[in-house]
Amino acid sequence: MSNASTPLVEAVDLIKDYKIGPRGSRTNLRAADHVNFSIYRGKTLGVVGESGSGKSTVASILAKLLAPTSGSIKFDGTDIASLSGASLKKFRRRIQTVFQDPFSSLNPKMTVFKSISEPLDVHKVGNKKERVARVDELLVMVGLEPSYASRYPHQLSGGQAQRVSIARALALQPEFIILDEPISSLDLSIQAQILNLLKDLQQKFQLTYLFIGHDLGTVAFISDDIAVMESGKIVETGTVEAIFSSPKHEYTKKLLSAVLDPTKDLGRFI
Amino acid sequence: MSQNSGKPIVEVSNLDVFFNTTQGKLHAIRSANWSVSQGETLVILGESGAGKSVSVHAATGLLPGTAEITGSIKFEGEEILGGSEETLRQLRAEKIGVIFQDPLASLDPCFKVGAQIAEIFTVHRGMSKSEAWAEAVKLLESVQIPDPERRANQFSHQLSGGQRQRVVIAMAIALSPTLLIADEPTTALDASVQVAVLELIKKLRNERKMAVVLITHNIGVAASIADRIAIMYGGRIVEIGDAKEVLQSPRHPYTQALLASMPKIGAGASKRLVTITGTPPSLATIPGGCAFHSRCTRAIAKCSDVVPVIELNKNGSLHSFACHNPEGANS
Repeated sequence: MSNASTPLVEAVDLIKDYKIGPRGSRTNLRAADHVNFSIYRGKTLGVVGESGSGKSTVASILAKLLAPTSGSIKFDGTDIASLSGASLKKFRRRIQTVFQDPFSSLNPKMTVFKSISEPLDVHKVGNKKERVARVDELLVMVGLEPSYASRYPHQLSGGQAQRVSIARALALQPEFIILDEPISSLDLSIQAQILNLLKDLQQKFQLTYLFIGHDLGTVAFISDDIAVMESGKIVETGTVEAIFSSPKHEYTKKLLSAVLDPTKDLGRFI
Repeated sequence: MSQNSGKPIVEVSNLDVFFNTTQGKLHAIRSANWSVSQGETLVILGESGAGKSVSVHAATGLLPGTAEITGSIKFEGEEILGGSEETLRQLRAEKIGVIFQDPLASLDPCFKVGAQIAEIFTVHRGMSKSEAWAEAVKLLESVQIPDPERRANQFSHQLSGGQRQRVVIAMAIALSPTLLIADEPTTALDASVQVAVLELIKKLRNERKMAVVLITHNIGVAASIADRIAIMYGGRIVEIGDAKEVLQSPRHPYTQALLASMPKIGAGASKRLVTITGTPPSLATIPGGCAFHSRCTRAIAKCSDVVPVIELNKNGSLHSFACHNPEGANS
């Protein structure tokens, strides 16, 4: 790690305003309010907060899918607002996203092979034979048999479809992956499998993650650092240990007290 | 603990449910036996396709015509299987309240929420419009909606998710049912709202001495509200008993593995989670023998051939499980 001291991703004073309400009486909704954080290479920042707190807005700005009203994102030292054309395309290879519902991220008319190889086509990586081999390799990497390549999304279970989404995200060997509630729609017995997979892949490829979640146990498992968001603001940041063992902010305490633990909260509402 | 304190409200015995589909005849519920008593909360816990919702829909006569049902379902001592549609309709109206996962889908966007509640009273209690409206406002107050008079005049899109679910709960309890069914009532809600809604369900259950059947896939929710828990897998109840016993000394390997695979806060920098291999079966592909055998670390030869039968009240124990080689047996 040559540049361990400089963050891979840095958000500097991000603000995102939306105009809402009927014409003539527009009001301002600040979805991101002076958001600052850094994520170092190979680490995971977990973002927690209730719905509407601005988690996904920040993720969209990071992926340059949404322009901030002010503030900037630095990726590997470069302000991503300055990217366009070829430099933007190069940036897009380095950052990928996995969303909550794999069935809405995968095109129902595309086979698994097509879905996973599409990014390779777009970025003109390899010839046809190399792409076939690469898809096989990616499927094995995420724990699926290469024979799955010929299947369509409706022939997959939720967990398998999410593995395909992850394989697609890995196709271009990105450095940074945004994971926006990647296990929330999966069955209980599958969630742990996918969490382990994400952790293994991170170690293997030195991946950097932004993990958005609402289940604090899950976020605690996968993250190094945590940012707690409320109404567009980061109200508390710190290491997993610090946030969960000695939360400082009232909102963090409120989130933690709402976690229902099978042992501690046994019989709480009887 | 309210166990056995009240009279039984629902008693399901030897219930089997089949669906005739284009994929053939699917066996959705397999020899189910369970009951719930007045003032008691039974939680049915399981993954998608395990048969949780079909179980309670069968118990309330809500299954579609393609369903074939055998066995017995008694409501307050009376057999309801094979009853006329009119009897069932009366039963559902007067005795059973239901809360579903998505409150927005349970409410009509075109009517004020007060009017939707008031309609129940004009239809079933013959009240005048103004009486019914007053009753609706009172009910909104009892589900702890602040400023109920003003809220009654609003539409569902003007309420927050938690308030909508409170409105749905108000409608469910409007006619003072003896059974409240809550099918994933907090799954669509934020964690702090979830806590408030569970608190409300508890309060209403205790005040009104209702029996509650709550369906969830969330172990924390189940632990917090259940008197008793039934764990379902592949259409069967694989373990049932007192919540504390099932969660703290699970006997079925599936229950044990589910509990072990949950990431826990404060577990330290654990490297990997314990996982269950494979995927839960769909109804069309439930394996023979024990449905869990191919994913089970304790499986023995017998497990792939012989369906383990759950023995209720064996030696007087209220904790039962369906397993040939249960946890804690010979370890």
